[in-house]
Amino acid sequence: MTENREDERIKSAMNRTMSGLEGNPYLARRVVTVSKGEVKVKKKLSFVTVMTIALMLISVTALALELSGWKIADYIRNVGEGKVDENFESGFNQDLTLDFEGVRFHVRDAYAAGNKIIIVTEVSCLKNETTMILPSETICDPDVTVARQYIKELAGVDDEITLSDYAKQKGLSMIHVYVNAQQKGTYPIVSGDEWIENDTTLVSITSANYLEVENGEVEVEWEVGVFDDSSDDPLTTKTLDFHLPVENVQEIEIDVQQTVTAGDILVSLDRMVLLPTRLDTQVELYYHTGSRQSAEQLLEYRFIAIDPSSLSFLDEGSFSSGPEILDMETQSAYMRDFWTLGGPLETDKLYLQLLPVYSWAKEGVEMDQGLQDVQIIKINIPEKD
Amino acid sequence: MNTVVAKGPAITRDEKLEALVDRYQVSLLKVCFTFLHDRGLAEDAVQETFVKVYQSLDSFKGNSSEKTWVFRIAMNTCRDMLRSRWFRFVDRRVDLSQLPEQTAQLEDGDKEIMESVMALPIKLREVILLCTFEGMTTYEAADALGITQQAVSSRLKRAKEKLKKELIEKGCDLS
Repeated sequence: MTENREDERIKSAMNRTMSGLEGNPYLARRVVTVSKGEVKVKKKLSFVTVMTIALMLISVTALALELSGWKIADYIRNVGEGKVDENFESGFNQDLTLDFEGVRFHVRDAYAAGNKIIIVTEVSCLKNETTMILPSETICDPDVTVARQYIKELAGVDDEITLSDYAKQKGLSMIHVYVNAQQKGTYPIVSGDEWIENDTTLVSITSANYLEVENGEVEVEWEVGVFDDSSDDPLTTKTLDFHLPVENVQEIEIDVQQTVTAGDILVSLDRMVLLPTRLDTQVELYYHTGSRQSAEQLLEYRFIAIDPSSLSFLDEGSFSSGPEILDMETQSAYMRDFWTLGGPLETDKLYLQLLPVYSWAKEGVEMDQGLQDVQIIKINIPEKD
Repeated sequence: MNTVVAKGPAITRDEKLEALVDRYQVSLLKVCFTFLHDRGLAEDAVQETFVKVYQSLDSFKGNSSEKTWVFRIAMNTCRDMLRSRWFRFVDRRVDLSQLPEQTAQLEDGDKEIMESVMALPIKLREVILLCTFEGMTTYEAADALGITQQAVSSRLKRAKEKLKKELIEKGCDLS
């Protein structure tokens, strides 16, 4: 009886928390179209996904590359095929190491610019050379996760071999670790990825945004931990705070003041702020509409950067998970959206379309395409001083 | 005497698909979101599931229930996505902020329960999703996950113990 009540409590809590999730009214039609091969399926990416992908677009071929000792630019250039300058150096030169629970955590590289911190952490065992280091079980279950996704040397090896089976074959034990880095005292969006450079070394890359700079620096809270399921407290962590210089980025603020319609809703794109770093271009958009009700409808629309000649999205798949309503009190509703274009800013114009989330469900339209019958906004980007 | 049996018009494959999408789309979206921690990926997983369903509609023999069959495809799709390169870019935190505003009134502890379920290891999360959230029997969940009933029962027990412990630490009671 108690168990039933507990089950009901869990189920109701989950249903209520996810009660805003709605189905896609075009899904059945879309499925039929996709099944008949008329539309290519592309992955839809969330805001956090895009934030990191913009920096670290990994390709499967990268699994065959030599990864040892790589820093931020190596990952972006070689793994992500990003447009990073050959001579890019983050300039990070601090020796930061934490030895903890028999594991060594070492900051290999770090970079802060615009609105983002990126940290590369190397994790290895202090003594035991037969321990494979893995991310937390919540994101990497060794019985489910395929080894070649994490270990580049395994390219060409059995595609389906799991990390557990791989470890067994190699006589390795496994431990799970935790790595996070963010501005101290904040709760930013944190994304990350992990690679295993060799059987006993894990590399973790984390990216956190919502940076607030003070005296040209940001105080980074680097938190590392080791999981031990046999313990009452399965995760113990240790924190090291350090200061990271923030590269100066010239913010470009553009007074746009252009109107566009989304269905019947008139939208005014007021302002755009660009933060062009040496790695990417971070874009913030501020816009408003006439009422809260319209603003809620606008949550289902995105401003997307496009190439007007081909109508393709500039940064393929660069959707955010959604804009936010800034002003809930007054009649007018002010909104903000934030996303990243891959690569440094190399153009003096940016073209945007305001597209419905499900625009790709229209027949004959691919997910990474704008729509022919939708207004294009041209924004002139002033030259940097 | 010959009997003539009146037959209704045959249901087309597209109509079958539409009925399945109507019936399962939203619950699959919830299950996939809890599994993958990402709304965009969950939407992809649901679409991918129905593409596979549509492509194998003719080969579905009814050896398991329609629901078990659809969820088996969904769980395998989520697992595949978990293995794929796309998943690894996802925010490692349990983040409910990407969920749209709730249409139902939240009760105290709802978010803590949701976060705790999402933070469970994958194998434990799967059984909570199928048995507790979707109300499947251990037999059905075993069929959907391709594991034994015994494994489902044991994982379910461990999952609930872990959940209770987590929730007690957060000052939240399941009863």
